Amino acid sequence: MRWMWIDRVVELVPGERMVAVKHVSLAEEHLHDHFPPTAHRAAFPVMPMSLIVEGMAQTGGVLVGHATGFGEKVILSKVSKAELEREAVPGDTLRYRAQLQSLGEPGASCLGIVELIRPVARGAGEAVEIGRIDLMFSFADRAADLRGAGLEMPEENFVFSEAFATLLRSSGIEDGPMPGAASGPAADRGHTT
Amino acid sequence: MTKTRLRQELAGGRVGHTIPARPAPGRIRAHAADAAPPHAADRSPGAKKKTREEGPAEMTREEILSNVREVLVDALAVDDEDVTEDATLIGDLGAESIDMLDISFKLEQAFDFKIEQGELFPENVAQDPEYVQEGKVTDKGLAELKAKMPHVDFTKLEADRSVTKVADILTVGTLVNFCEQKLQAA
Amino acid sequence: MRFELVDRVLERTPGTGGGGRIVTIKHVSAAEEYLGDHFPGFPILPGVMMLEAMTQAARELLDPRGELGVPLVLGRARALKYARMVRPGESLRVEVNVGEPDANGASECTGKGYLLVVGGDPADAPLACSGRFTMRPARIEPAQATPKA
Repeated sequence: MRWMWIDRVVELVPGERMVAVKHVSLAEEHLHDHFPPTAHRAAFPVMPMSLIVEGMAQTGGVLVGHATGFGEKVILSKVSKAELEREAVPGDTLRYRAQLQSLGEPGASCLGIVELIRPVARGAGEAVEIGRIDLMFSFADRAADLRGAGLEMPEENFVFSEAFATLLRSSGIEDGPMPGAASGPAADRGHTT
Repeated sequence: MTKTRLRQELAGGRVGHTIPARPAPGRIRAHAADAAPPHAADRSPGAKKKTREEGPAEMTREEILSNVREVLVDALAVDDEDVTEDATLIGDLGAESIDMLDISFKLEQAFDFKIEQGELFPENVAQDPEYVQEGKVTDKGLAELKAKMPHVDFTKLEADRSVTKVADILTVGTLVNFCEQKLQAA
Repeated sequence: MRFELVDRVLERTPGTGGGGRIVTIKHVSAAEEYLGDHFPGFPILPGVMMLEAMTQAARELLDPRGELGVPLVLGRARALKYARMVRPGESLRVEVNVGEPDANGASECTGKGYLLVVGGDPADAPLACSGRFTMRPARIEPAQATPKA
């Protein structure tokens, strides 16, 4: 199982908002465990909400990362609020709309809307809002308590890896991350915060 | 690279500008004309509350407390009645370090002012050897804290210098003091 | 790679009316494939996997044999905070207090995850995550399109 919970970025307004989509496909392993048949019911594949939260976290994380020149290790630190009203099933497409709410030195916050697009035989499937996910991110290089815990982290920005660089490049975004580059206050990034 | 544009059936009415797979060279430029999705804008906490536009001098302490209460209920998932002026953020309301940033962001939105890092909550107190020695806040440390944090009541810390006491002195009242002072200074 | 985040149930204390308390363990093993992406060179349990571990623990208490007509899923999460990173070789000790299901079959839960190091004493284990969440029956809209045969 790869850890990539968005498939394509469809809109990016730098420093403001990002929209990404994720297809729900029977090719994905976790759907066969969530849920398998039991003695009492048939198999019931549904997209786990935890992975929908991750899809929004990756959308918001890339938005925040892009806004800071991919010089920070942007990690999810708090799910302020997450609500999902309906499930997504194989064949559906999820659309994540993340809006940057606050951006400070130690971290950032995003508001998010989750939409469901069900495929139809003719024409375009309509997008229906099915959830809201509000998140907070910390910049790991700047988190005093993490350093205090004696946790050694590599210098390079492992958060925005090759997988994200590929995602952004194939979505048409040219100023994506450069995997292997250092991050944090010590790194010479040359961008304005 | 084959197809360049996202198919219309996924774009829907509210997405606005889509990004071609091969844009013009250079950065994606901000689409300033686009409004934010209506839901997201409406959902900023405090967006509907009385703001500074109505005049900072007009906000009574009671009104400030009301806004602060809404911020804390939102950030800490506590009940309205838990948020009294004396309630400590860490002890009584269960705030942790990530919540401090959340509270700071939400106060900025509710009151429409900017909070600098370290302005609201004492940062890295325990790590600084000039402020804390052998688990106790030094005189110099106490003086620095008082100077930087006029909104905090340090009486309890004067009596008991244990650095763990710092958690006890951050109360809801502290936040109300901060907002009051910040609004008056504007 | 399986989507199973309860490796062992340590304690199960059913309450009256269907809620109760459950304590489980989720080991973090370098064998878990997704760690290769999260993150390259610095594998840590993703925060949402801590949430999933708490969700699965709650489900294990509420519907251990999958007898409900519709599975219980996570519907809501609030104030879910991450305090510590959990690495391969370490474990997450999950404790969930599960409320009684209401008339709609929804249960309010509070969960905590503690970072356990090998040979470590659970009493000293620091908090890795905590939050409130709601379990509810899955909601699927009837499909408009013709289902697969």
